[in-house]
Amino acid sequence: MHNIGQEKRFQIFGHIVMVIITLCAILPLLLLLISSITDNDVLIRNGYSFIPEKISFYAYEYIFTSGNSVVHAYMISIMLTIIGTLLGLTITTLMGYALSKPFLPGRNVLTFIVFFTMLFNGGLVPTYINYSNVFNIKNTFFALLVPSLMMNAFNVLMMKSYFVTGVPDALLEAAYIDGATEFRAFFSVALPLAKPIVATIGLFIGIGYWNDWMNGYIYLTKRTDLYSIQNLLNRMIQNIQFLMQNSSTISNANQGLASIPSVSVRMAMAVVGVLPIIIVYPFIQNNFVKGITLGGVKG
Amino acid sequence: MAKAHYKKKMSPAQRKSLMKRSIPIYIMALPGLIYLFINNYMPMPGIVLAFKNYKAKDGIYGSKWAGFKNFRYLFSTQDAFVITRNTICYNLVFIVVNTFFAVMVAIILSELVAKIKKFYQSVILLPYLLSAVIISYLVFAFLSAENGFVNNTILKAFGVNPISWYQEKKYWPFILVFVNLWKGIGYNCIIYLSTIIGIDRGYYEAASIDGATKWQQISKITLPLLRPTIIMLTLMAVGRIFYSDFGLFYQVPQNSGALFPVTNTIDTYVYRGLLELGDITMSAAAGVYQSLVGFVLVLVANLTVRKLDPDSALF
Amino acid sequence: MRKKILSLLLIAALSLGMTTGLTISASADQLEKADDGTAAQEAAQERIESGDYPTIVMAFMTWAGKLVGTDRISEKISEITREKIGVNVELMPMDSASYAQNMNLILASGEQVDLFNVVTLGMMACVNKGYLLDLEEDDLLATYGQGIIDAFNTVELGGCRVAGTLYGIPVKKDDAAGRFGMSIPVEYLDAIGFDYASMYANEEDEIIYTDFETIEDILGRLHEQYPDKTTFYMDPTSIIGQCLLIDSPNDNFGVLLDPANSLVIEDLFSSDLYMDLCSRMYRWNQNGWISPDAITETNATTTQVKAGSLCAYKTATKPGIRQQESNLCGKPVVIFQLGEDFKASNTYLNMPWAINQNCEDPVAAMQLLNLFYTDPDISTLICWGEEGKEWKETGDGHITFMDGVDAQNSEYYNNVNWQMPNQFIARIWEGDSLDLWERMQAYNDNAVTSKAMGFTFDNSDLAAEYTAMTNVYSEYSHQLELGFLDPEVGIPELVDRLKAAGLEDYMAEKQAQLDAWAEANGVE
Repeated sequence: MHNIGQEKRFQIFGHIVMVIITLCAILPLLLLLISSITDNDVLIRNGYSFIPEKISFYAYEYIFTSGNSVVHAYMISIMLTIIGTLLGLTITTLMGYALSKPFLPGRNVLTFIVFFTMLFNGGLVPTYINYSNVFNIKNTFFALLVPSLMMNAFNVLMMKSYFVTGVPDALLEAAYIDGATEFRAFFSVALPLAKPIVATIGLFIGIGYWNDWMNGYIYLTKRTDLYSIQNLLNRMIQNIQFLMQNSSTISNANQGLASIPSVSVRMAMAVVGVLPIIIVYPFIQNNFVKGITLGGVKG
Repeated sequence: MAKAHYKKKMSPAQRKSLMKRSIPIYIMALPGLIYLFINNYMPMPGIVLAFKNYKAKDGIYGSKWAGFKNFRYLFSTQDAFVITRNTICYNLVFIVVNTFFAVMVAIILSELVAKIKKFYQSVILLPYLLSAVIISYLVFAFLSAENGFVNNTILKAFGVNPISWYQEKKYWPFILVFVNLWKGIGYNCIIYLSTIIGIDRGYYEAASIDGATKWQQISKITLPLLRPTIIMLTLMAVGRIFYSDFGLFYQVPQNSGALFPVTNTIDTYVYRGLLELGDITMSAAAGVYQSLVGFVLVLVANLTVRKLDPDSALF
Repeated sequence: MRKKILSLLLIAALSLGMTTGLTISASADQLEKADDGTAAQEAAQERIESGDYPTIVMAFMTWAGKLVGTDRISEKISEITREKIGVNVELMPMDSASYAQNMNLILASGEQVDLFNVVTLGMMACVNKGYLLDLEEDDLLATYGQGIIDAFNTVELGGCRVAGTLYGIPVKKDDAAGRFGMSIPVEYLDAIGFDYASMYANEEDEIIYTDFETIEDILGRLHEQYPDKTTFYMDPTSIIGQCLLIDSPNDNFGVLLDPANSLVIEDLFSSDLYMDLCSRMYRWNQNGWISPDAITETNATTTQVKAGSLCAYKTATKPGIRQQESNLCGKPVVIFQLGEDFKASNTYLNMPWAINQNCEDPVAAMQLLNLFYTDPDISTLICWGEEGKEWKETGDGHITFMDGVDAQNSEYYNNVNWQMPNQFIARIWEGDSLDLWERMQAYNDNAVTSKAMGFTFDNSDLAAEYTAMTNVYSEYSHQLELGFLDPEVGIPELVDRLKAAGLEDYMAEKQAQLDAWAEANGVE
């Protein structure tokens, strides 16, 4: 059967392509890792190199013992990601499902209302005033949780599209005939079939929360104990950049560096920032399992 | 898939039952709508800031109108053409390149059998999690004139003279497209992958029995079924065509002046000017400009798509 | 009899002056109505007696955001301010990179911030947006800020005015700067056998005044001696400001080429001065003295020296510079200076302290600010932290780190004393001479000053031109000023593009405003 030969060739081709792409991804990451354990002075003198002249774990020592409390930031990041993803996923899925029902009166209007937010938004200052004055969430955990990240039009429309094409009407009809309410139909029929999209959007929302530093940047001016790990890293890096680029207006810019950690520490923080994802992602991948079509409705 | 068409005229009984069905659905949509209202619609009137002569005492809504004064800086310069061209061209290239590779990787990943595919998938996602500044350091590690990996290792091996990468603008469109692809491929392929996973395996089995080759299966089954997703994502990207990834165009080229003709986009142009001016109305104006253009383009694009392939249209 | 009464009155006035900490000083014309301090005392008494202490929020930027010990220091300062003027203080330090954005948002949203430093926000921008309170309105400064008035001379306060109105109070710092200073570690000079010790004009001098020939000779020898190190580097964002003796009102588009004598605005980029600078740098670059990666350098100068990859760098100079740079480099350095000491017109506008126009209790805010300029204890607290926690006495009048504390683990080491209202009255850190601030004040007063001191340029109608020119300049600046582009080719291109972006209109407007200001203020 020439099918098997062909299949094999495809597999080999696929592996070759993936190996190339993975190498491209992994090389710079390897560089990141290695430079985080390279001695700082060597980094400054010789630049980044795959084979360090001198190894030093100072960066990691600094991170885990310094006053910045990287460990604490980790906890915040993790808590924020879990809570945010659960909440965000819930309202996004419900919304997406609701918009997918063709009989819903005003469905197009609602969809447009959702979509419109993708293209226009009030801007930074009005958003800030809204959350800070009206809702008073500045310098609280809610400031990390609520603005922008919980639900966005992109995710909702993805969900909607999946529900429309991936959940056959026939199955839902079968459930209605059995006397199920809309809620029931959603939970027992639509949701299990939507596992791949739920996992996907959950991943997107989760990554969004994990990566975000913007919310912390503008809303956390007093509560340093609420800094997430990306927030911490980005602040540090931005401060250094600022120093480098603005010494004309500020005298003694160099003095500021005495209190900011060095190059190797920045690298180490970046490594530390991606570590949990490396650990967690394989588990989520298990959910990318084909939805099994329940017996009874085929063709 | 046939859409149910509901006639406008319904009997009272039908209308009642429709309402009964719809109420739970509205309830489901409620949390989302509340969130959208709080997060997006409440601040939206603030868009007028772009048209105002802002004074702190009067606040956003009390300040006097300024007409289009705050928009002038986006158009009145010779650079307006360069920055607009850069922004649009890069985005178009990104759409094509990223979609092609994301779909390809998704298809491959879905077809691979070996367990190692999980490893591939995890690794290629990681670049997405790195912040722009870290990426700029990594790029610098490769492209540095003195110590860079490319100059010292690769070019030396071929006996080519070292190149001052950050001062030669001709390489940068390729570099930026590559970096953008590198960063996004792991993330972008996920949505296609999950769509493919949802395709009924039965189709492939039937095709295989009929003697279809792998490529035929992909092109006749997988791709057409991916089309709605591809179109939707492209439409959304079109809506953001006047925006650019600030980190990519400002940090990665290390703000090197020699590269401006190919790295200056609307966002970086605005940032450079407003860094000193600190004018919140001007940056609001830039935002309105970008949104408006994107909005118009998406409407046009969506209408076109609706004519050709109604199921794939966004709305 | 009359004479006796008169002399009695005089004595009474003098003694009253002494009990309220006043001295009769020569203040600027507009501040003639020197108050005798009773209103201030009354206001403070009222607050103290009522027991209802308002909290004044004080915002400024630091390099590492909110320091761990901030709340503690706020409380320690409050202990003193409660007693003296009946207010509580809340310090609000923010990250340097986000300071401007955070402050803009805070000010736009009406959140409470009473006193803040204007650094990175742009004085003109703040005035245009209406963020700042006119400090002389209702004689606020004269009545409640007498200590501030005394701390400054007419030039200093006058230099902080925007179109005649006083919106901010400058900080006490090095206002003048020596142009084109060079810092080279001692060990490198010794290695090439350069005899710097004999070049000092006087024994106690810390700076060697020399010329380019000598410097270029040194650099050449350094390059030979250390081929693996970068010979010279300068931070590209501060080149024009620190190397050239010009005055740039608001920005470099249209400058005073002879600021001590002339009020004519000219184009810097077409000038010989700029061509000389760029040609020199081009030559240095061709000689291999500048690293090919200079434009994309991500490490600061002193960091590079500390790591051993750099031999010499440019720095502005001032009293105490030698100690400062030696500390930062981790090794002793020698400071050379090629230009003159000069005080630019924007020196008092870079980082003044201002009061939010939204402030609920401007009297309390002004009194607090006044206290910061006069009270050594709270000044030391805000600059250096708490005794026994952050610092301790050294026994010879200096202070230094508390045992077990250093720059990295200190709970309050803000490194931004130049931003604090009055570091001159705070304690002196180990390593600096005890008379540093006297010398600094003398240095400030004696430096060549720009004729345009006190002039501010309002470019809000030319924002489009400004944005365009900034982008054009950014494109060429690093390349020309670090010697990567041949100035014979690059400068004409730059000038053409600037002109196309609106340079001539911009300069004309600047000249017009300058002339109007000169006439209004009686400056020739």
